[in-house]
Amino acid sequence: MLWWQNIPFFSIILFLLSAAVCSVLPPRGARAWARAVLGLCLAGGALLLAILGQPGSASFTFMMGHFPAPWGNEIRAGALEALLACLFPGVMLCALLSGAPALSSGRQASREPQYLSLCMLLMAALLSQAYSNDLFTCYVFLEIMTLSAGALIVFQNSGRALAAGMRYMVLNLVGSGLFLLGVVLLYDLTGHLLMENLFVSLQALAATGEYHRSLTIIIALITVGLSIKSALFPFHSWAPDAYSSSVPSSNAILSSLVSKGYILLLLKVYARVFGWDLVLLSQVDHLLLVFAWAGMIFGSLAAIRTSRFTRMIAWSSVAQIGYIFLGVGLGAGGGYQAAVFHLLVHSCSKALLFLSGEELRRSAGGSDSFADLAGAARKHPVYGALWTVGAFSLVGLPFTGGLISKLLLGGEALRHSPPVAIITLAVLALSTLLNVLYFLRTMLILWSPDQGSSRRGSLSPLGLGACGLLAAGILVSFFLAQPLLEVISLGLSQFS
Amino acid sequence: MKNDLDRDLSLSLEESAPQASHLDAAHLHAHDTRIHRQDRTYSARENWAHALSLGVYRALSVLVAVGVILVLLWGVMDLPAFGRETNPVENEVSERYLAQGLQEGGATNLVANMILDYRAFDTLGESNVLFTAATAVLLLLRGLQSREANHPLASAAPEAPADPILRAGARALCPVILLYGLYIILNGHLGPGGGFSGGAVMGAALILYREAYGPEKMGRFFSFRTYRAISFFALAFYALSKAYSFFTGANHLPSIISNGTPGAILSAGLILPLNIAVGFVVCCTMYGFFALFEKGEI
Repeated sequence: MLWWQNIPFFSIILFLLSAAVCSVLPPRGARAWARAVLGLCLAGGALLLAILGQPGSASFTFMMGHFPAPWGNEIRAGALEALLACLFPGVMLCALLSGAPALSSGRQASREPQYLSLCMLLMAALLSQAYSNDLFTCYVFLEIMTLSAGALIVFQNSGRALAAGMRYMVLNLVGSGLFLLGVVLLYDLTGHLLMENLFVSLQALAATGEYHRSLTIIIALITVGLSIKSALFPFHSWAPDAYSSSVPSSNAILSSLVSKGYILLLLKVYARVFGWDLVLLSQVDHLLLVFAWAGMIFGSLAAIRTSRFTRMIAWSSVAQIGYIFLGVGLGAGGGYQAAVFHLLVHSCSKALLFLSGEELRRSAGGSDSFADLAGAARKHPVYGALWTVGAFSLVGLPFTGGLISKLLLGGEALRHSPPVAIITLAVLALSTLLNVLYFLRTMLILWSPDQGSSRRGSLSPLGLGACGLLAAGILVSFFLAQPLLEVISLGLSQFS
Repeated sequence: MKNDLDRDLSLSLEESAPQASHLDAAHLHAHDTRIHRQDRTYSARENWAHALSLGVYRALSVLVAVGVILVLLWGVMDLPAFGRETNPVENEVSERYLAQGLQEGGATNLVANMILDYRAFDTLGESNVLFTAATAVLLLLRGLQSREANHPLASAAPEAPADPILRAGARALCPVILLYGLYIILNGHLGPGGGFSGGAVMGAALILYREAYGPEKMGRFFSFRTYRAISFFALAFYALSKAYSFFTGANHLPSIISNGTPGAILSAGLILPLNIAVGFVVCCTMYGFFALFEKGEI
C-alpha cells in the first residue's frame, strides 16, 4: 500500500471528525476549521488526481478495517473519483467563502457552527458516495446527505424556507425509501452488497433469464428513487422552492452538489452493479430519455415564466438536470462521458450563478424581482461579468464548458437509432433556444443603464476569489476539455 | 396548474409568517383582506377550477399509490421463498460471520461483531446519521420560543403543575431504567444488546425525569453544554479509534488492540468502547429531540 492511497480514507474520516469539532467551536473558530479542512482535502484530491489521472494508471481498493471486501467494508478510487474529490470540496469551499456574510449576520450568527457541522457531514457523505464500493454504505451516507441538505434549507428560518424544507423532506424520504427497497431486493436475489460481486451474480441471473421480472422492478425502483432525489422531471416539484428559498450558500450547495451526489450514485449503480446491457433489457433507459427530454423543455419554460430572479436560476436547474440524465439515458461510453462532463460544468456554473447573483441582489437592496434588479450588474461590474460567464456556460456559448457538453450529447445522440437521434437533437436545439431567451432577457435587465443611484456595497476579496475560482473552472473545462475527457473516460473504463 | 397553486401557497405562507413588531391596525386589515381573498381562491365551494384540480389530484394519487403497491407485490411474488437453505443469501459472506466471527471479532454476540467490527464503517456512518438528525433539529428549533416570545399572537402555554404520582414513580424508576440501559450497553458484546438499544433505554429514563421534575431541575446535571460535550467526545472517540483500526488494517500494520478472552467483560477489542460511544450518542439524541420539540431548548 502506497502512502497516497490513504488520501480517500483520511478525507472521509477528517470530514466526519470535523463535523463533531465544528459543533463545539465558537463561530469564528468553526469557520476557520471548516475552511482549513476543505482546503486540505481539496489539496489531497488534487494530488490524487495528479497521480490517478495519468494515462494507464489503475484504480485501487482500500480495506476499511482488518477484513477483506465481501465481509468488511471497502472503498475504491480511480481517475473519476479523484476528479470528484477535487470538485466537491472545491465547490463547497467556494460556496462557504462567498456565502459567509449571510451566515454570520444577525441572529443567524450563533447557529453558524451547526451549519458548518452539517456542511462537513455533507462532504463526508458526498465523498463516501464517490468512493464507496458497497451499496449499503452508499445508502447510509445517502441518509446523511438527505438530512443535512434538508437542514441547510431550513437554516433560513422564514416561512418560505420552512415550507420548502418540509416538501423537500417528504419527497426525498420517498426517494430514499424506493432506493432502499431496491437494495434490499437486490440482496435477496444475490446475497451480496459489494458492487463487484453484485455485478457477477446479476450477470449470471441475466444469462439464465431467472428473476427477470424482479430485476426490472429493482432497476425501476432504484432509478425512480434517485430521480426523485435529484429532481428529474416529473419528480421535480420540490426543487424550485428548495433551491431558491434559503441562504445563498445553501442554494448553491443543494443545486450544485447534493443533486450531483445522487446522479453519481445512479451512474455507479448502472455502470458497476447492473451493467448497461441489463438496463437496456429492462427498458428503463427509454423512461430516462423521455423524462430528460421533457425536463429540458419544461424546466426552461418554467424559468421563462417566473418573475423572480433566484427562482429562475432554480428552474433552470430542472432543465440542466435533464441534460445530465439525457447523457445517462444515452448509455455506456459516450453518454456516460457526456453526463459526467456536464455534471462538472453544471456544478461550477450553478454555484457561480447563485453566489454572484446574491451579490447582484444585495446591490439592488436584496430584492428578488427583475424590475428592481435593472442595472444591478453596472453597480457591480465584476460580479455582473462573473454571472454572465455562468449564464453563457448554461446556454452553451463558446469558451465555456457548456458548449462541450452540448456537443458531446449531440454527437452521442447521432450514434443511436434515427428516432432517438432526431428527437434528442430537436430537443437540444429547442432547449438551447429557450435558455438563450431567459438568460438573454436577464442579462439585458442586469446590464441595462443604471437608474440614478450611485455605486453601493463593498467587494469582499474572499467572496470575489471564490466566484472567480468557479468561473475559472468553467473556462478551464472548455480550454482543457480534451485532457478532462480523457480522465473521465479512463475513470469510466475503470468502472468495469 | 399545480405548480401555480404551490407557488401561491408558499407565497401566502411567507406573507402570513409572523412579523413581530409592526402589526399595526392598517397592516392587520390588509392582511385580513388578503387572507380572505386566499380563502375564496382555495375554497372548493367557491372556485370550481380549484375543486376540479383537487379532485383530479386526489384520484391520481390514489391511482398511483395502488399501482405502485400492485407492482411491488407482483415483484415480490417472484422472489426466492423465505428461509430456504438454498437461497442466495446463504453464501460465503454470512457463513464466515457465523463460523469465524468469534475468533476474528472476539464478541460472543455475533451481531456485534458484524456491525462494530466487520462493517464498522457503516455503523460509523449510522451514528453520524443520528448526529445529523440531532443537529438539524437543533438548528431548526433551538431558541424558537425565546425568539417568538415577544410576538403578540404567541400564547404562552401554562406550565403543567407537577404531578406527585409521576414524581414518586419517576424517583423510583429512573435509576433502575438508567442502570438497565447501562447494562444493555455494557453487555452488548456478550449477549443481546448494544449501544443503539441501550442508549434508547437511557434516553427514555432522562425523558421521564424531565417530565416529572421539569427542565430546571434537569438542567442542574444535563444542560446544553453537557449534551454538546457528550456528543462531541463520543463521536470524536468513535471516529479516531476506528480511524486507527482502519489505518492499521488497510496498511497491514500491527495493532495494539487485542480481542482478549471471548466472554470476558473486557474483551472483543474496540466493540465495548464503541458500544459505549454509540450508546451516549443515541441517549443524547433521544433526549435532545424530546427537549427541543417540547421547549425549543435542551
